[in-house]
Amino acid sequence: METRELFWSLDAAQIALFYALGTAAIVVFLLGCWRHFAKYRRGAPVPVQVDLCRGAVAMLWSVLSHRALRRRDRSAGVAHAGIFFGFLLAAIGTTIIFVDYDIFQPLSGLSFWKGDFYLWFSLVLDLGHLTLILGLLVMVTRRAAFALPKLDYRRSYEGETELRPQAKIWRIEDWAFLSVLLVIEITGFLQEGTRLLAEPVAWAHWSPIGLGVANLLAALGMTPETATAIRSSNWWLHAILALAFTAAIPWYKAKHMLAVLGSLSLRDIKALRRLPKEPEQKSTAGYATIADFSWKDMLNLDACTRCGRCHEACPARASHYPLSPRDLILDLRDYADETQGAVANGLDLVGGVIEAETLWACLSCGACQEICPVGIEHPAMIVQMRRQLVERGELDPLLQSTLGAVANTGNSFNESARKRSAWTRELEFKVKDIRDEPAEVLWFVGDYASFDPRNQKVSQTVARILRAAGVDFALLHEGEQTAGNDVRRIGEEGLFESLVKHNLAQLSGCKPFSRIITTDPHSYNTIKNEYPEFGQTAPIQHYSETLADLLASGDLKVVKPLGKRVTFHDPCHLGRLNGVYEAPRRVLKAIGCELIEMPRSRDNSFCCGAGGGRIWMRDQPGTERPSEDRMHEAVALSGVESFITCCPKDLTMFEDARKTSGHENDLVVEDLAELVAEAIALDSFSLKDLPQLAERITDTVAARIADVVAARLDAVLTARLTALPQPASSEDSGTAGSVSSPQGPAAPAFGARSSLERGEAPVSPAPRGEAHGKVAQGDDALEPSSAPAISLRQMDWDKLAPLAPVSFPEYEPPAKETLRILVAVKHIAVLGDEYEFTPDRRDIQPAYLEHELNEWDDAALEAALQLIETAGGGEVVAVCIGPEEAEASLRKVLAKGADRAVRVWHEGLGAADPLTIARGIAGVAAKEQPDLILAGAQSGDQANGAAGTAVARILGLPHAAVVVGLQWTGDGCVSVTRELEGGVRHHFTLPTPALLTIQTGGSAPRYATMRMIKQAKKKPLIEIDGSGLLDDGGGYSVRRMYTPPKERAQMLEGGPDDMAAFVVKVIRQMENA
Amino acid sequence: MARNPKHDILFEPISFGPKTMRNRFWQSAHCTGYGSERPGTQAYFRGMKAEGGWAAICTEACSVHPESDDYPWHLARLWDEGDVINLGKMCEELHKHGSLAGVQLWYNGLHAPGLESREVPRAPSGLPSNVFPERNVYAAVADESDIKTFIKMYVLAAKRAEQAGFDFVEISGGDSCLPMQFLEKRYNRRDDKYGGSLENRARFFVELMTALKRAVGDRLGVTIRFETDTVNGDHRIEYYADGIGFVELMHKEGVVDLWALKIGDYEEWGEDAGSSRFRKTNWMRPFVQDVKGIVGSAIPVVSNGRFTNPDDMIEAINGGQCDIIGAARPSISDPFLPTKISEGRIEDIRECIGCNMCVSRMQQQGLLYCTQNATSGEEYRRGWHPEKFEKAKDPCSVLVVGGGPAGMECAVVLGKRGYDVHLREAEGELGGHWRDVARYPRCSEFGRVITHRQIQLDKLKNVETHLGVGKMSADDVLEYGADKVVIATGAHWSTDGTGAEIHRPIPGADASLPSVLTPEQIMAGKPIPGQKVVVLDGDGHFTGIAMAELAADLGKEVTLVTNMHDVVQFSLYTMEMANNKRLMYEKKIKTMTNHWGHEYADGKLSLFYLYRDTPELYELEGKWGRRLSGDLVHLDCDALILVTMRVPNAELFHELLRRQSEWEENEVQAVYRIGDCYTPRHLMNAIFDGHRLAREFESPHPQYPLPFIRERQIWGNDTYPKLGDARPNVEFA
Repeated sequence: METRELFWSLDAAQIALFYALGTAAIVVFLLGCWRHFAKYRRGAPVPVQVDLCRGAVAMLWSVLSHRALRRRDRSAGVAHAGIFFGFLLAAIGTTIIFVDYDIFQPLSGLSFWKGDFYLWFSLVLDLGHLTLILGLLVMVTRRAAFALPKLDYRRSYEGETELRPQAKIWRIEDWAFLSVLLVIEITGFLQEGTRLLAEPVAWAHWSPIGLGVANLLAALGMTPETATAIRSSNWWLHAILALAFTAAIPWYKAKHMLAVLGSLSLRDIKALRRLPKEPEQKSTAGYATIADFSWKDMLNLDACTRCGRCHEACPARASHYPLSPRDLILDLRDYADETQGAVANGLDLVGGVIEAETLWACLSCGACQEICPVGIEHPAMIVQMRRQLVERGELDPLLQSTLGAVANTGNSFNESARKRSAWTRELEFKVKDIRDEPAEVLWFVGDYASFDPRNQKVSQTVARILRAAGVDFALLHEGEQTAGNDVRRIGEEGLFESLVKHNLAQLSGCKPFSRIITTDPHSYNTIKNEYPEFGQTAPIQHYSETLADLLASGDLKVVKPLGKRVTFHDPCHLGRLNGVYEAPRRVLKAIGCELIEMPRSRDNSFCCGAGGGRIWMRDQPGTERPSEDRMHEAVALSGVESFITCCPKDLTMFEDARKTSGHENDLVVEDLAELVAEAIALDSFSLKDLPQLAERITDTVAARIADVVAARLDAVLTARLTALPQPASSEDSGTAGSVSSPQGPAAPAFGARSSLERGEAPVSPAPRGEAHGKVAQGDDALEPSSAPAISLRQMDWDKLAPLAPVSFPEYEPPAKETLRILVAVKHIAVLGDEYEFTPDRRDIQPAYLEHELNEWDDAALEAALQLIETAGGGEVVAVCIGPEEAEASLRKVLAKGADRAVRVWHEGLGAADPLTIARGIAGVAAKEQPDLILAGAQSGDQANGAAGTAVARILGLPHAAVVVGLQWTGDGCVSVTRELEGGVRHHFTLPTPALLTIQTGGSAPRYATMRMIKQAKKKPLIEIDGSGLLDDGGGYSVRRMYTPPKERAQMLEGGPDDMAAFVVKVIRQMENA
Repeated sequence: MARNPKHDILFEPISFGPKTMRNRFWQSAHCTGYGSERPGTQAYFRGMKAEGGWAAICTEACSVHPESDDYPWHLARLWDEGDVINLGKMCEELHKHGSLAGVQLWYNGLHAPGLESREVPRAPSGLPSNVFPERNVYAAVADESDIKTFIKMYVLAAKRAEQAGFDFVEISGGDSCLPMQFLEKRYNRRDDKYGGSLENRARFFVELMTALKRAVGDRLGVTIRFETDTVNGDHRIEYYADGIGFVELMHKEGVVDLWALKIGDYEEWGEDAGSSRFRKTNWMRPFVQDVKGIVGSAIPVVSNGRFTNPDDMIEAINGGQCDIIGAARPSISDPFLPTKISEGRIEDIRECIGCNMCVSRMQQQGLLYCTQNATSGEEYRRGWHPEKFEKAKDPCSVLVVGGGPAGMECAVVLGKRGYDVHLREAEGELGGHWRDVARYPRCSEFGRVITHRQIQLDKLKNVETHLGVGKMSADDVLEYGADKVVIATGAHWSTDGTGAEIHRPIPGADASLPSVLTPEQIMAGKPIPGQKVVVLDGDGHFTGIAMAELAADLGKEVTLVTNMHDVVQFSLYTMEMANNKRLMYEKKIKTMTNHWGHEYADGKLSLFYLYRDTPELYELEGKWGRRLSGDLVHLDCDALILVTMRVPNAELFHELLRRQSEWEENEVQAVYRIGDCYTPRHLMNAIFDGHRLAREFESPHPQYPLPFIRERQIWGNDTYPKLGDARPNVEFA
């Protein structure tokens, strides 16, 4: 009888050992499964309804057909089919043997595993194992030889250059899975071969592979004895590996074999098309922790095999946004396994395990879930986590303001609702208001088609086409609000629901209509799939469908077949989400266009980058936008003149991308309707449009001429400026950044030598090489009108040292007998309405400058005087780093009540920077040893606001800025009040000596009486030589002063109404720009 | 500083007839009260405008013949050789600066009161004057030969004008004078060829202009000042149509070299000289804008509108309203307005505030002065130049206490003269009581008084302005260290009802009560209680009506009570009476004249009628007198607003005077007072006071003015005409 002996040559103990091992493997296997089930049990309920029966059928179909696996990766699909079916047969075979040997025989004493059944069994299993091996070999080759990007776990989109430890484990898992299974298979055939070599049977040809192996071994010179020996040890090897493999299944990626059954069966056919509602009694929005994930989500996570299809398809990933759907799922899976789905509190998941930027990167295009072979629904999870971010307020500010705009105005353009149908005003006819009169069709326009100027043109075209076709249509006008598709996908569920409520209320309050059409696929999706869960709606059609029907029925007649070569972009929300692929193509065909399909088209269409609210967020820096990627793709098609879309957001994105990607001249971006209008020779022009048209043409021509003239002028001016002798530039002193000049103790020259000035130079300088020689000579010629070039040592960036107060050895202040307050004052320059530059253009003509005491310093003096007055005595000493003219301000300060004044100066200090000034003040302070130093919070001319604080840092004093009130506390401290933004007051106490910078607006500064002014003339005013300040870094130079170009101004004419209308128009243009 | 290029058009020359103006600034004919009788004042006043850049400067209305005698109003006259000499001086001054001199020829027909000449005026119809009905002025009916006489009078006057040196003759076609008495149906009752249709009514004017053009048109410009609409309510004649119709008709004759336009006749002078309380810049535009289109580009059009801002001017020109900017008041307020625009010193323009105090002087048969420009009228007689100040030889330090208009003006002038000045103001802002005034309803343009001086003060480096320093005590002043002190602490409204009538407090009228208020208190925010409000106005200028309007706008029932014969009586002089009354009518403000407060108690104001006594005199208890009735009128009065009189804030000055002995030890050489703290007065006089003190600061006793030049005939000199001279040959019969 044809059969074979199980457990040949094994004794009872060995058999017992095998059974023990087998049992252990099953226990480990079950333990693994149980652990997962325990995890699933902790998951939240599934927020959507799923049809398990339909799902199971679909799952079977999907698994058996392997359709999903073959898509876009045929080799992987076929190889997987080999592995899958081979493994399936092997599993069935093993089960049959188990049933026969361990159940049927002991019970009945009979066996069915013999005879013809056995022969067929042998043949089928032999072939099954062969396919399994072949599949594995393909997979191994694919992985080893072709470095497929989708199988690379390096997150290059996040800048990773090396694998993270977790990813290394994943890679080991991948290889372990393949290699162990391969070894099991090879040892299996080796077992069969040695068996047939050792114990040849007549029916050996029913095991063709095994026979082949036996013959091969024999040909290689193996004797039956050797075969028997190998057979014995190989059996154990094979058995133990197989048991280990089985036991490990639930513990690593092999678990997808089981999880996929659930994952596919539970698949939500409307996922992303219709997002789950928020359950009513829930403490926090969306998914905050892993415990908020539903058990189905967790099952989804376990089903992932890291095939990388989503990673490959994701437009966000392709644009180097910080998101890969695969990695997101894997991170979530690891975290779910680590926590066993049981983190009750803490917000470590969203913003921790998964970063907010990752979640915001999603475009909600559905490419990932569409391609996923195991039915993972990534976008829904992302939206759930976004809901949490929205609740926490962690949004891009731009997005936040857009949501605010939607909430306030009902549209994302922050326009008045009344403006929604403003585009209809340019039509030759009035568009019905469905709230007033019934119509056949209600046109839900959507935001972009209503407010975006480019799209408004399309809307007007669509309106004209509909009218030409005799379609009786109406709008909701200002009754319409954003449909909310993207608001929901951002995760702002509350706002979405209120939008739905509003729009549904509007719809229910309308005059009768029979269907809705929309130009916006986003609105189309939500109204079609999501609105019915909130209330009654009408059937909805996308306008591409409407146009296709109208063309087919002859209501629209093509009079001019276009004969254009075009390509077409499938909008995600229309195609992938709702399966409308054919209508636009039918339209294109009807109007005589030759459609060259995009390489990525239909379900593989590539997102324009606008979805999921991304259109309202800033682009991440340094990334190529998906729309630009798409443009390159389109341009690569030969002879395509037009890029067709049928989605307003697409139009906006691609019009933009066409320019930014440098393809402005390569093709045009058009809306489907525009082509239709052309093909049916829609005459949209009427005589009354003539004046507007003429105006537009003249405007355009005028703008062109202005541009040309401006460009010429610029060129002339630049040439003139370049021809001017350059003032001393940094080259001759070789500061940091000047590569060609050697560092070293170059002759220091004050000012020009700071590296800062390069950034400040407003006019583009002449080429540096040329300027170099010229400058050295030109310097003297230019200098006389500006301060003489006295030197400061240049900054040596390698030897940075703390700033020190300058030493004034010759200055000896009077002995300190009482409270002493030092007040730093500045004699500032005040510029009038008119001014002229000096001939070298490095300064203002002195005639146009007036000088006065800095307002803030006046406030500081007042504070000092009041402090002394309240303290009942003391001395106020004014210090100023300034030229002789500054004595006017010092005299003023003395007149107001300061007791003494000190002025530090050297003519080289003309361009001293705040730090140099601070060192001087600190030097005086070091001598004076005051109890308090007060300075203005800033100077009225330079407004650096730095010198005061710098003095404190140099002297190591406690300090406070923008002080508006202060008093002695009586214990060597000052109590200080600072005024912060928004009038917030900050009270605290500082130990003295301290430095305070005083804000204006405290007590009004006093005026000096004439008597005080007279008396002040007798008060001591000492001048100190400031040359000591010149031996260190700091200072700046003015390279050029210039008057910024004037903006064009226009005199408004007409009455107040005309002027107001014009102003509004300008504001609108700026808003849209 | 440079002129803004967009203003260049204002400085493009323009020709009319045989003459060319150097720019587009035209000083319209306006009254001064200087006439031909004050040749120096007239010549230097107008000459200052020529120096300041006005390219064409016209006299006031100038009577062509003694039959048209407006005395006691002083118009110019070209009756004889004497007038030729006197007005010749004006022409001489204008020509020094390259400006054209014009004379506005005028014959007043039935409205000439003739109080000096005693001649009988002639007119198209024999009607009594509605302008001076109270003077019983009638005209004799002119027959056709009289009409030829009129023309001859004008032609002879034009020839005298040429002799005097005038460059153009402007024929007044406004203010109800003779040509208008022919043109207006209400005055023209004729049934001959000079009456009836527009063509007939216009015939005289056309013949007149034709004769003038023939007589002098090749040497002088022959122009018209024409009013296109009389805007005078009920008896408004079909004038807008006639007005434009007349321009078309006259223009066809080709005898007018230039049209200067206005609106409003004599009764509606206030629409021509529109005050800022009622009329804003270029208010006449709708009435005059069509003329330019009729006369075409060859004939220039002058349009007025109290323009002070060059942007408004260029808008009028670029907008096709006119070619030339006419101005009377802005040229008084700032004779250098064209120069300042030309030099790009817009912020220095001393803008007219539209208070109409200038015309009020003429209406009081006085001389023209200006609130904003203290030097106007003083060019000759005091030798003042609005933009030039004699530097002080030995400037000392001066403390000016009080930053109201007088103090500001004084500080500005002292500053310009080189003194070291501290101007100290108790409040946080400059302006004194005038800050309140500028916040009264309709009075916002009055704020220009403050802003102009503020800008000037900011420019003066030797003047410090101290704000918010609180009221100074005598100690403060003495210790201040100033060499000289000027007190300008202003005045306040009486809080007890003392006023121009009976000169005693009104019992119960006490502004410390919530229901009794003064204008200052109201502007400081004291609420006006209740519904029924009485404004007791003993002032008669704008404050009483402003308070009444303010209360009415709050929804109160307002009664304006005055002791005077008419409400807001001073506005008769400022040309605002008619519109003030329209305003009160519109806002349902009730009025009572000739009443004054007797007592205020328990929400009732009792008033007495000024003439409640009998006309007869009786002997009462041994004395002669009138028998008073005890009649009183009782008004419900929830709030009583006292606009009765102003009281000087003179305490500081008097305290300093009392302590004169301490001046020397404090090195104070002198203390003066100016403005309302000396005595309350019109703003123009308070500013003048501050200005004068500063101009005369080194005089031996600057508190009191130095003498000025008086213009009058000095005995023993020639007279024109002399007795025995023949009457000019004007008549044909």
